[in-house]
Amino acid sequence: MRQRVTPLIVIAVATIFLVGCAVLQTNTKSFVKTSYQTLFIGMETYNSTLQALADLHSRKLITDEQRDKAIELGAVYMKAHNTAVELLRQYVVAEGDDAKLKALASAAVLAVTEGINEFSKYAIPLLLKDSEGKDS
Amino acid sequence: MNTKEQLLLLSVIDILLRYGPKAIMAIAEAMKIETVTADDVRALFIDKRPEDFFE
Repeated sequence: MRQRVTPLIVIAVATIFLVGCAVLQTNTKSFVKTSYQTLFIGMETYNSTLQALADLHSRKLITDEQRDKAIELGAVYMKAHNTAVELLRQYVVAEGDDAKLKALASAAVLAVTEGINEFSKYAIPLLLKDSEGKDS
Repeated sequence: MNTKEQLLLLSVIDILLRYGPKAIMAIAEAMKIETVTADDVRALFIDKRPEDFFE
């Protein structure tokens, strides 16, 4: 069963790896590219995980409490993600000429990683645990 | 494994096969990007709230 969850785990690990790369980037083009890729992975993780959880919930395979917790963590992630997207967009518009914006965008991308980590930490074990029938 | 557990297992496999590879493919495409524009970044905005998935 764990092999089936591999795609989501790969996404989570890739996010952590990429954000590490983004923070270490000094070159503007690389910074923007790596931050973009990090945020893209975060967006896909958010969408895939919530779709999967919603599907499970519609089949009554996760509880309303579990759904509410996923919504709560998802909302935290969405806010952090959109903040990072806006800061990165402003940085790109400024053509990488604003050190303050770069610092803010870096911090925001870091916050996104934290958000997706929290979200994944909750959702992936939920899928694993349920799939092994330990909850029932 | 009882019937409920079997149903759960099949559901999770179905869901992961449906959503996991799609996400991986999309990410693989995003990894190929060379130059990121402001429009590319704007496209990353999430406008679907978590509760919308459960409606």
